[in-house]
Amino acid sequence: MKEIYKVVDVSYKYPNGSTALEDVNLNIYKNEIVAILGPNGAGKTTLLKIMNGLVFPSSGEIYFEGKKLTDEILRNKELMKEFRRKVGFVFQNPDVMLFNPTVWEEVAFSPLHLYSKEKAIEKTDETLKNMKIYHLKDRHPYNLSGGEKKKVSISCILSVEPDVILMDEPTSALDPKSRLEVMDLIRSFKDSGKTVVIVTHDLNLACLADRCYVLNKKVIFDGKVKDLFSLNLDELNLDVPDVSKLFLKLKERGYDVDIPTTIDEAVDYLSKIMPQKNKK
Amino acid sequence: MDNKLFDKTIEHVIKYLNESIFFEKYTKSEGLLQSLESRVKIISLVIFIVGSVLSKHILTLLIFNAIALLLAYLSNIPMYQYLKRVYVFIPIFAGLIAIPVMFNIMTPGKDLIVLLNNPHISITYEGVKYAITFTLRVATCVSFAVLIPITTQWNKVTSAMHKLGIPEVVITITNLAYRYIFLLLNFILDMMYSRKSRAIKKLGMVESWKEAGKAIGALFIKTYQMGEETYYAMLSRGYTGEIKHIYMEKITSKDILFLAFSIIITAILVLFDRGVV
Ligand SMILES: Nc1ncnc2c1ncn2[C@@H]1O[C@H](COP(=O)(O)OP(=O)(O)OP(=O)(O)O)[C@@H](O)[C@H]1O
Ligand SMILES: [Mg+2]
Repeated sequence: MKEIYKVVDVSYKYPNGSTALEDVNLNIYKNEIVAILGPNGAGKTTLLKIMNGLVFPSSGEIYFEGKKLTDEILRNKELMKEFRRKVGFVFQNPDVMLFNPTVWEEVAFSPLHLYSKEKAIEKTDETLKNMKIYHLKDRHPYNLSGGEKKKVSISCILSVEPDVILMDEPTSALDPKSRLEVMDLIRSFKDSGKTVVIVTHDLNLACLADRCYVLNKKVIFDGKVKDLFSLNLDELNLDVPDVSKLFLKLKERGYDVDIPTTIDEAVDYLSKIMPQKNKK
Repeated sequence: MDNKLFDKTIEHVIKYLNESIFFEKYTKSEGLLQSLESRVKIISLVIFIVGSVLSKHILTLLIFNAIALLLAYLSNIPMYQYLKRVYVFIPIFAGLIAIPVMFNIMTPGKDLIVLLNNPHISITYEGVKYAITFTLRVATCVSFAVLIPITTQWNKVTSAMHKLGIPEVVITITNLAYRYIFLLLNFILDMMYSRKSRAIKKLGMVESWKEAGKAIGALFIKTYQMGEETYYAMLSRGYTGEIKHIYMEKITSKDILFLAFSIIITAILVLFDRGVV
C-alpha cells in the first residue's frame, strides 16, 4: 500500500505556549478513510493544519508521499501548486472558507489559481451541478444556511479533484438528510480512489472509516473503529450512537454480544438470535 | 435607565445597514445601469461624482442630484428604496460635520439667529448656506456612489476594479472589508441576542456599558482569529498573493454613448457652475 502521510514524533506549541500536539505518530495509506477522534481541544484541527502544510511542527517531521513537508518546499511555486491540487482541506468553520463575493467564484477560486481559465470555468460548473447547488451560484456565500455553506465549502475543494481530502467535522451543523448526503459523498470518494481523513466526534461518521486514531494531544488509540468500544468511552467524550450504547449496557450486564454501530447491524444481529413470530 | 430602547435601536441600525449594503435584488432586474458594462458604468458614475465635488452652487448640485435620481429611475430602482439608502449615510457623515460650520466662529457673516450676546455666538447666513451646500454635495456624491453597488453584482465591481488597474492589495482589502462588515454586523447581532436570551435581570447603565466593553473585546479577538483562519483557507486553496479574476463583459456602442453623455453633461454643468456658460 502506498503511504500518503507519515507523521513522525510531531509536537506543536502555539505561540501563546499552549501545547496542541505531543509526539504524535501516524500513517495514512492510499485509498483509506481514516477517522481522527478526540475531545474538544485535543489538537485535531491543529493536526489537519499541519497535514495541509499551513503550519509546521515545532518538533518532529511530516512526510507527504515520501517528501518531507517544510516551509521551503511550499515556497517553491511548482511544488506548492502540485501539493495544493492534490490535497483539499474542508475547514471546521465554513465561514472562514467563504471569502468570495459569489458562490460561483468561491468554487472557482482554487481552479482559477491552479488551472487555465477555460478549464477552471468548466470544472466549477461541473462541481456545482454534481453537488446540486448550481441554483445557488449567484448568491452571496455569507447569507446561506449552515448546511448550504458546508456544501459550498466542500465544493470549493472538489473543484480541483484532490487525491487526498482532509475534513474537519464535516457533519457538524447539518440536518440528518444532509448528514447522510455527506456520508454518501465520503463513500463515493473512497470508491473513486481518493484518500480521506475525517476529524469528528460523531461515531456514526467514524464508522465509515477503515481505521481510526483517538487523539488527546497524544495518540491514545489506533485501530479499527469497532475496537474503540473496549475503551472507556465516557472519558473520551465521544458521540456514541444510541444502539451501541444499548448493546454496551447489555455487555456490562454480562451478555456476550457484539457492539453494532448502526440500526441495520443491530437488526441483523438480533434477527439471528431471536425467534420470529409468524414462522412455524 | 432603560436600555431596551438602546438595544432596539442598535438592532434596527444593524439590520438596516445589512439590508442596504448587501441588498442585491436590483442588480438582476432590467434597467439602464444594469445593462451597461461595469467598467464604463463605474467610470461614468465617478465622473459625475467629480463633477459634483467641483460644483459650488446649490442649483448645479440640485441638477446633478436630479440626474442621479433619473438614472435610478431608469434602472427601475424604487425611489423609496433608493432615497432610504442614500439618506441613511448623509446624516452620519455630512450632517455632523456641517453643524459647527453654521456658527459665526467657523463662518463669520450676517447673523441669522443670535444664540448668545456676550461672547457673541450666532448662526450666520453664510454658515447656513455653506452647510446646506456641503450636505447637498455629499448627498449628491453618495447618490451616484450607491448606484454602483445597487446595480452591479459585487464580483463584477471587484473584477472591474482589477481591469481598471487598481492594485490587487486594494481590491483584496476592499473585498475582505466588505465581507467582514457583514460577518461583524451579524456577530454583533448574535451577541446581542445571546446576551438578551441569557440576561436574567435587567442591567443598569454602568453594567451595560461594561458588558458592551467585553463584547467589543470579544469582537476584536474574533476578527483577528477569523482573519488568520481565512488566510489559511486561502493558502490551502492555492492562493499565492494574487487573486485571479474572470472578466466576461464586453464594451458596446451603448456603453460608449453613455460615457460620452456623462462627460459632456458633467463638463457643461461644471462650466455653468463656474459662470463660463
Ligand atoms: N490560534 C491559537 N492560538 C493559541 N492556542 C490555540 C490556537 N488554536 C488552538 N489552540 C489551542 O490548541 C489546542 C488544540 O486546539 P485544536 O483547535 O487543534 O483542537 P480540536 O481538537 O480541533 O478541538 P475542537 O474539537 O474543539 O475543534 C487547544 O488547547 C486550543 O486551545
Ligand atoms: Mg477543531
